[in-house]
Amino acid sequence: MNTDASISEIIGVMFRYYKRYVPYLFLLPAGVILLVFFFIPFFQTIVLSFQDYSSSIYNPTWIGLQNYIKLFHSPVFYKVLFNTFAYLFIAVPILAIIPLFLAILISQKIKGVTLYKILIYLPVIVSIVVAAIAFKWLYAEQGILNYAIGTLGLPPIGWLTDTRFSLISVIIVTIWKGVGYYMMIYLAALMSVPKELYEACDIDGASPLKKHLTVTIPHIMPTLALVSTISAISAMKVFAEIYVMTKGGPLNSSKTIVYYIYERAFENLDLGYASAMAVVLLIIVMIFSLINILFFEKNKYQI
Amino acid sequence: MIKRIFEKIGIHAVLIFVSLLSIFPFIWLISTSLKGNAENIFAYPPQIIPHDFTFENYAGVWQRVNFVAYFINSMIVAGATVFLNLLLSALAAYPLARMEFGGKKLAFFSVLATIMVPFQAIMLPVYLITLKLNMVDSVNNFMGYLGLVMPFAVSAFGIFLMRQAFLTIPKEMEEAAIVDGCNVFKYFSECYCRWSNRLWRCLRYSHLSALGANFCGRVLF
Repeated sequence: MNTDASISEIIGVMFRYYKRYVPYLFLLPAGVILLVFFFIPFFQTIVLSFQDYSSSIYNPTWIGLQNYIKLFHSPVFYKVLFNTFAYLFIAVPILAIIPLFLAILISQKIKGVTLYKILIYLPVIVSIVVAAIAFKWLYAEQGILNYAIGTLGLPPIGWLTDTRFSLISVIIVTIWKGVGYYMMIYLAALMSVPKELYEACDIDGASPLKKHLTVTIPHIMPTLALVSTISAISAMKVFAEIYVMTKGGPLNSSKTIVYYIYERAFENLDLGYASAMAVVLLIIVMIFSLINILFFEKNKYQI
Repeated sequence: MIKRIFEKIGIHAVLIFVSLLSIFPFIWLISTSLKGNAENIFAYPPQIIPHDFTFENYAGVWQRVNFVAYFINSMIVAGATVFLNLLLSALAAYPLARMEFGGKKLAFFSVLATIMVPFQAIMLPVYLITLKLNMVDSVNNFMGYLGLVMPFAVSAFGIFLMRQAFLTIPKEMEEAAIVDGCNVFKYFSECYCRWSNRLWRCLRYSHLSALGANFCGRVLF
């Protein structure tokens, strides 16, 4: 008997004996990483939110709900929360409707569809940092956007330096970057709409608008809802655009909740307070995610 | 017929307009990058075509900052993250798709829970843990890379994507292989990973593009 055969035999015997441990062996590496970098931090966030780090970073003291009380009495927190929800209520409807409109146009039988798809998808694959820097140029006081509205006879706008416009300017970047992604999701959904229904519409002489209102929209309703929840979740988490373009300014006018967490934790070293905010964010995002998983992506996450 | 032509022109007009909006910031970025010292980049009215056309700025980047090192850093971090994601997600997805064992539900919902929690909500303790493990701003480069890679080495998204793919592979294949004396590990590595080749590629790309945008981690660590 040669050695190779005996080794594989031993492995075979061991394998049969320990067979019931095999699934755990498969799960072990991923499990360890998720434990160290997800579950422990998750509970630590909750623990941190009950502690005070602001007096000394090395000797945190247990202060119970003080951070939360401070949080809900802070006008800045309400401003930040308001900004985040403004982000949500402006970006989400636009990101649900414009990509749908574009997807319907692209799915018509016309030439150059591939080129349009590539060009509109381009912003998605580019790093958000590059995009934000490019937009910073466009938004500059002497920039091309101000020149454009100048030719229309309007006074220049401080896109990123005026408290009235800074949030909108950042939202525009997010929308610009998201349109292509959601358009692709809609395009995939539009493929599943039965062609016969459109033909029936044509025979009955329905106008294009009516055709889409009565056939397309009902058919892709689940996708519409999916896009809404995905974009809502990502709107709650916006960070990079703000970090690069405005740093939350001027006067907190474009500060969102994630940026504020970052600022309190890493610039003011107030870990407890930042963690309390993180818990609030956690609860809000979890609600959106639960809706998403329970209603729209149910079959993907079934045992 | 004429109505149809007008319709097509209208569709093209809208799509061309949107496409231009999509690429305009890049055009402006490229145009500015090609402007030389003699040209005022804040000139009013703004100029799209540079007067003082030059590639000097590109040469300047190479001379002034250690661009090659930054690029290598990005590649190492991206490459290692993608590699670990592929390996670990596939490993974890396989029992979730194909095996029966105690605690399967618990494992399944634990992974699902990670989807619901935004990274931003747990980023502080993640930072503190990498700090404790000496993975931040380390003089030792290897540990520094680990600090950037390990928190993102497993993604629930990847696990679910892999699981979906494994579920589409017929179970009879596995049974036949086992009858022929193939053990689970061999079967996993030989059959599943080759069968889901297309999926691996897709996951790899999605991770690479996601990493380009994975800025939050870069700022923190």
